[in-house]
Amino acid sequence: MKATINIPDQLYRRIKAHSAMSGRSVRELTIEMYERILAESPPPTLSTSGSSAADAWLEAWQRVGDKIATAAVDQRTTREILVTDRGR
Amino acid sequence: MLVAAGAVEDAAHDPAAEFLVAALRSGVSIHQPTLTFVEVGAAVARRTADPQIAAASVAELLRLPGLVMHSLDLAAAAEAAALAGQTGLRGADAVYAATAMRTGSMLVTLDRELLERVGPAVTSMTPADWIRASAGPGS
Repeated sequence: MKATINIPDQLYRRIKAHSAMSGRSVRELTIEMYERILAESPPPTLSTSGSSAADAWLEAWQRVGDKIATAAVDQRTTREILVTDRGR
Repeated sequence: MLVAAGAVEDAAHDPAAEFLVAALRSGVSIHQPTLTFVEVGAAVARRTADPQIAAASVAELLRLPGLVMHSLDLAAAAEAAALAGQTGLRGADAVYAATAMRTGSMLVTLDRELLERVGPAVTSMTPADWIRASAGPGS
């Protein structure tokens, strides 16, 4: 698969230099980095059961809800605003 | 329903959260039209006047386990329009109902007008009704 990624200029220059000194292509170094990341930290879906993923998401969603309530400048609930937006 | 599940100040928070966690634990897919993200982002932005919080709410919603998003392409729009014509649903409501119809999903919503108008084409209920139905008779 081909992927196009925007990389900061300075970082790319450093990895090009590293590539030249190590004798490995930027492509090889990039693949190595991806493999290392995945080996060190498998994605949550592989290590989290359905129950804990559900609970974790709902907790995160409720933290967002708390931030919304704290920052509210309109005292209606978000659902009330949504319902109004639908023309009720 | 998703919005109520995340907002403890919402009168329907408890049944919405209870339904959602039970549904997610069961591993079912949650089918949503992409319109959901526009509506939630817009409502949060209007409530908080904070674009970062609005963006964060949409980003978190996109991490919903089991989420399957459905774009409003021409075929989906035609189905929603036909359903709106048959039932008298409002435009956005018809998009949600048509998504449920297309995916063979149950429509779980807090919206009384949507529940009343959607008709037999889509199985629909409130989160509280779903919890009662799941608990079975005598419980």
